Amino acid sequence: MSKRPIETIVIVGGGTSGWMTAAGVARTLQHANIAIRLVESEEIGIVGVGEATVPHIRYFNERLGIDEADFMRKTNATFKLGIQLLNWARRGDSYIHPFGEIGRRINGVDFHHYWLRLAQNGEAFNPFEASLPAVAAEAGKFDFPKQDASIGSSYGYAYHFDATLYAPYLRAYAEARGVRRTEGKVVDVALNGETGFIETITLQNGERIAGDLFIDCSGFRGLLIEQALKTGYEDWSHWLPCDRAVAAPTESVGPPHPYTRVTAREAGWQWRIPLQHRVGNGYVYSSRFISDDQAREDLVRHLDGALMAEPRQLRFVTGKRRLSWNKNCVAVGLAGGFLEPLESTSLYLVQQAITYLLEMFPDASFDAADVDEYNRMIDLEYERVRDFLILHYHGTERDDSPLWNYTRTMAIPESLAHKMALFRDAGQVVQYRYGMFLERSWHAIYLGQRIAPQRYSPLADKLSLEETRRAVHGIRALVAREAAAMPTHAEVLARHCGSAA
Amino acid sequence: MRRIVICGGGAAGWLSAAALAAAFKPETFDIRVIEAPADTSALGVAGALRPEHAALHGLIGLRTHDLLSEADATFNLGFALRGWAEAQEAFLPFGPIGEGAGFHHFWRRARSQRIR
Repeated sequence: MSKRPIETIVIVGGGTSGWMTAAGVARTLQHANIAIRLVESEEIGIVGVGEATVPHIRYFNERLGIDEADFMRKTNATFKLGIQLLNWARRGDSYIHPFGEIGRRINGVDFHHYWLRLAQNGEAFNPFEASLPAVAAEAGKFDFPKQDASIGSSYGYAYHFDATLYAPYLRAYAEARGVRRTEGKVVDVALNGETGFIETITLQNGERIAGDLFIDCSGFRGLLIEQALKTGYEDWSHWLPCDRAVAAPTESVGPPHPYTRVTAREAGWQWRIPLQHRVGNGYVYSSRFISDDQAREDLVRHLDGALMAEPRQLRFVTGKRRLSWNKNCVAVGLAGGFLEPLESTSLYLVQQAITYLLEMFPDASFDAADVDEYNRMIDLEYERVRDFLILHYHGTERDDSPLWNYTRTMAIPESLAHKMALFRDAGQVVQYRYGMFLERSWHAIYLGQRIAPQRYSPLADKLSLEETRRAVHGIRALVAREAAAMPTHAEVLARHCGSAA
Repeated sequence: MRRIVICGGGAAGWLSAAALAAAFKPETFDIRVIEAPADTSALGVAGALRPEHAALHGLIGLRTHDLLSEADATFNLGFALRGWAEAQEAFLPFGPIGEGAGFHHFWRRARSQRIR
């Protein structure tokens, strides 16, 4: 196959996936002689239900050279220090999974070992009080992290924003850098008779667009990767049984929280995403355990502001495409797979799909080694997130509904079983280098889900009990002081980037 | 009190012993090293260490000064490979080569454009 460079990239589908891809490719390959086309249809609505993100999105924007205040103004964005989880291990429980540390290492040993040592000595305390981003978030505070060695530099942040505004924002960026948008619906995909590679797509108006590399951002239907290339899908519903969501925007009640709230419910969980001028809400649920009507009722009953639009329903199948990259087609976003947004990973997976593609950008020969490696890395990303999410469901004590009884007792992937066994025994987290989540995120969920290790590391015994108390409570006091000194989220928003109403 | 028995001395045995003794409270373990009598007439084999070793030395309180004076040490910046491929000598440094996107891509591009 020809080793000539790629000359034309065709992106099928707009929305955040399509325009993030277009912007990323245009920015990174702007020096190359590559034509970038994007085909989208105004008719096909994009899945816009408010978006929470993880800190990686900041690097994506930075690489594009996007000004943060401008982006936040145009997308109605707020800051996010973490995710507040309500009612997950037990009804009434509340903890925040922060973008940062819980305590810090003392003498080279993780904080939670000292927490456990004190707890086993009858001196239990809430470990999350040692996390600056968790305490600050709960108190409605926010500040930009410092760059020094102080505790003020020990956390990160992300955003909540209106995804239906992020896409057009990136569209303006991409079109200004030469990406050509075509309005239309794809009705046919022509494959090469010998190789099976995609050669052209045909639009409803008859226009045919040829390309070397095709990127499928067409959403769940996977026009190219599935309908044309029949790649296949790996269904993970037996581990993550939610398959529907009902979403609705509500009016703000009070200043926006600097965190996403996810509340465990009878048959799933409800999200609350605060934007500058309204709140995004949704109930992610399993149709096996609740009817659509009941889910809709439950959502509406649990809203804290007035409804601004009729609730909309979405259906999905949790899982991933067997191959994210098949022949000369790469699936990005929903076309590549779906994991419920419990830990705000949807745009992260889009970002990684784009980043890896750019790092391993092919030539027209589409070497199998490149494609295989890409798929291996994307698979890893999906599996890491999958395991982390399953932990939220499986690591529960709840027995008050069929959903929780199912997830609490179901068989889980061996990779996760191994991780949980290691933590339960010795408080150790399986180390890995690639993919989400860092060790401290695993600590947060284990501790928040009341999964305490049987024993703490004997390394933590090197300090005396009195020294341990001093160190641990010193950190708690420092966190409390630092959080109290922070401005409020609302103040920082107004100062930095209040958007036009 | 628990017992740890280390069979074999040398660097592996004594590093293990030193690390275990340093990491835990003194009374935690009874550590025993069993080694064959040392042949002090032979010159020791020279060994090379990697930067990752520094963390272990830090744990047991071994300073650069100690290595220089007690173990006849010199500094190591990497590994030079000679005769492995026909081309000139290759060097594996303890550190990055160039910066930004994999430097080897820039090197290849420079070569393809005959830049020396």
